[in-house]
Amino acid sequence: MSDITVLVAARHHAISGRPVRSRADAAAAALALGVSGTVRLLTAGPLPDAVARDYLALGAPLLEVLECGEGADIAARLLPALRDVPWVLAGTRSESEHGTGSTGILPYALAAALQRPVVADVLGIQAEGSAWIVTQALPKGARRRLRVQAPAVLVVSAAASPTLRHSLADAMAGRIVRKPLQATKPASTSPSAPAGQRVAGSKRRKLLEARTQQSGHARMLGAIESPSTGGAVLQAGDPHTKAQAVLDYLRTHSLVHF
Amino acid sequence: MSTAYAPPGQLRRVDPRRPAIITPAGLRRIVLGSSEGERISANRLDAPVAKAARSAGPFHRATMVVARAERGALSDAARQAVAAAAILAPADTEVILAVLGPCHDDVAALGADRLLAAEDFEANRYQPAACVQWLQGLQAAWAPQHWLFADTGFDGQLGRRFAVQAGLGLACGVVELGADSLRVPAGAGQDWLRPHAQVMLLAKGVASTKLPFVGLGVREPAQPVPTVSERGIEDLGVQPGDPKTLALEEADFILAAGNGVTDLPLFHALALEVGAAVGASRVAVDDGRFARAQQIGATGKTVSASAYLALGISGAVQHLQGIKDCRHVIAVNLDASAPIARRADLTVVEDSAALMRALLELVRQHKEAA
Repeated sequence: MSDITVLVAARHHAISGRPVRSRADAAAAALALGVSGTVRLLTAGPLPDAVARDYLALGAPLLEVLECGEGADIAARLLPALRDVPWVLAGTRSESEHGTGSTGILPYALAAALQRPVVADVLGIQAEGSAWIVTQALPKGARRRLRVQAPAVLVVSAAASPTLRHSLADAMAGRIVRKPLQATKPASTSPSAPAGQRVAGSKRRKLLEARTQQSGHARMLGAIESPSTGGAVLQAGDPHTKAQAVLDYLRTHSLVHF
Repeated sequence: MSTAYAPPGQLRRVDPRRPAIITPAGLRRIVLGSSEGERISANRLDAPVAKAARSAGPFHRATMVVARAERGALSDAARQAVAAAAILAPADTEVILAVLGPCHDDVAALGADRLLAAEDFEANRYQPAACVQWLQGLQAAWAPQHWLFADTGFDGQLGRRFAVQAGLGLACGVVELGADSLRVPAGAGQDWLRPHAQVMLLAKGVASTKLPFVGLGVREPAQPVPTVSERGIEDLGVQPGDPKTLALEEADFILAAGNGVTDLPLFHALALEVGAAVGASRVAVDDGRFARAQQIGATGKTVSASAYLALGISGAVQHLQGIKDCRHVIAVNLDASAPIARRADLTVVEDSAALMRALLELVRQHKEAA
C-alpha cells in the first residue's frame, strides 16, 4: 500500500456538460507522482471509465472508486479508506466545478475528522527524509516554504502547473478498482447539506443593495454627476518636488518598503 | 407666511425658498402655510448630507464579519462582506468587524458598528490554528448569529477552517444573498437556493458597498491572537515575489509605460530600483518597445496591483478596464485633462523622462540613507 493518496473526481465540462478530468486534481496527482511512483488515486461517487483512464495516464498504477449513492456524505465514505494513509492530496475546486454548494470544503472536513493539519495553496513538494518541504503560494507572488511531517492533508493550489504527462501505456495498464457500497450499511446523507431548491443558473443573480429613499433633487444630481472625480492634480513645481510628491504618496500608503 | 401673495390683479408667485424641514427619512418637506423650518438655499442642498446611523442600539444580537487587513486597508471583497452584513442586519443586531492586523479604514462608513482589530497579528507567520482559536474566542465572547467572510484567499480558507472546527453550518461561494436565502452554484448549470447558513463565504460582487447609512464605528482592541503550535508543520519563511519573473496579474506594484516614455533604459532602471513589475499600454507594445505579455488593458492583461504608476499613459477606456482593480493609481502625464487623471488618485503634470530621472535619484538617496 502506498503512502500517498490523491483525491480525484470528475467535473462537468462547462460547455458540453460531460464529465471530464479536473485540472486541479490532475495537478495534485502530478505533484504526488513527482515524489513517489506508487500513488493511489481515490474517488467517491460516479467516475466514468474514460475519465478514470485520463487520470491513470498521468502515471499512477491504481485508481479506486468508492461507489456511493446520490447525495450521500462523501467525506464519511472516504474516511475509512484514508485512516492509514500518511499523505492525502486534493486539488482546489473552483466555484464552477462542484456540486454540493460547499466548494473545497472536503479536504478541511476530512482533515478535521482525521485530526490532521491542512496545508492549502500548495505549489510544489520535495521529499526531505520522512518530511516534505512544501511550497505554498501567497498573494502577490510571494512563496512560503513549510516543513510538513506526516500525516497531513495538502490542498494543491489552482496556480500549480506541473507538467501533466499523458502516457497511453499507463492509461491502459493502470487498474481501476470499483468498491460497491455495502448493502448492510444504511446510506447516510450529509448532515451539513441543508435542504434547498434548485434554480437554473441562468436566472439573474440579484445584487444585495440597501434600500434608499432619495429626494428627487438628489436623484437628478446622481444622474448628471460623474461618479469618479479623480484625485489630486499636481501642476506646479520642478520635477524634483513632483518626484518627491510621488514618493511621499507611495510611502504614506506603505506601497514601497524603503 | 412663507408664500408671497401678490396684490390682486397680479400673478401669484410661489417663493422658491419657502422654509422646509428635513424629515428623518432624509426627504425635504415643505408644509404649506407653515413658517417653521429652514430656508435652504440651492447650493446648501448640494452639500453632502451626513448619513444617519443604521441603528443606535441597544444591540442584543451580533453578526461577525472577519477579514485580514493588508497594509491597514480592507480588500474590496471584505468591504462587500461588511456592507452585506449591515444591509441584512435588523435594528437589534450589531455588525462587528473582526480584523486581523491594524485597520485604518473608516469602518463606520463601511457599515460596521464595532471594530475589533488584532493589531499584533503577524501576516508573514504561518498560524492558521491560532487564527481559528482567535475566532473561537470571539465566538465565546460575542455569540454571533452569523459569520461572514469574503471567499477569497486567506479569508476564504480561514472561514472554511473555522466552520469545520467549530462545527457550524457553512455555505461557500455564495453568489446571491437575500433577506433570508442564499444562492450557491450547484454545477451543471444549476444553483442551489438555500436558507442562510451560520458561516457564509461571499463571492465577489454579492453586495453593493453604497450604503445610505453609517455604522456606529466603535473601535476596540481585540484580544491578541494566541500562540498555538502548528502540529507537524515548521515554517521555513516567506520569500517575496520577484517582480521581474512575476506574472503581471500577481504583481503588487506595476510601473507602466505608454507612448510618452521613450527613454527605455531609464524606465527599466527605475522599475528595478523601486522593485516594480513592468507593464505597458497597447501603443507602446504595438510600437515594439515592450513584449505582448506586458500589455495591460482590454486586449492585454487585467491587473490588480496595490500601486500602479502610469508614465506617459493617457488612459484610453480599454486601458482603464485593465486597471480597474488597482487600489492606488498614480499618473504622470503632460496633459492634465487626459482621461487617466479622472481615474488616478494622484496626477502629476510633468514630462515622464524628467520625472523618472528625479524619482530614480530620490529613490537611490533614500536607499542609501536607509
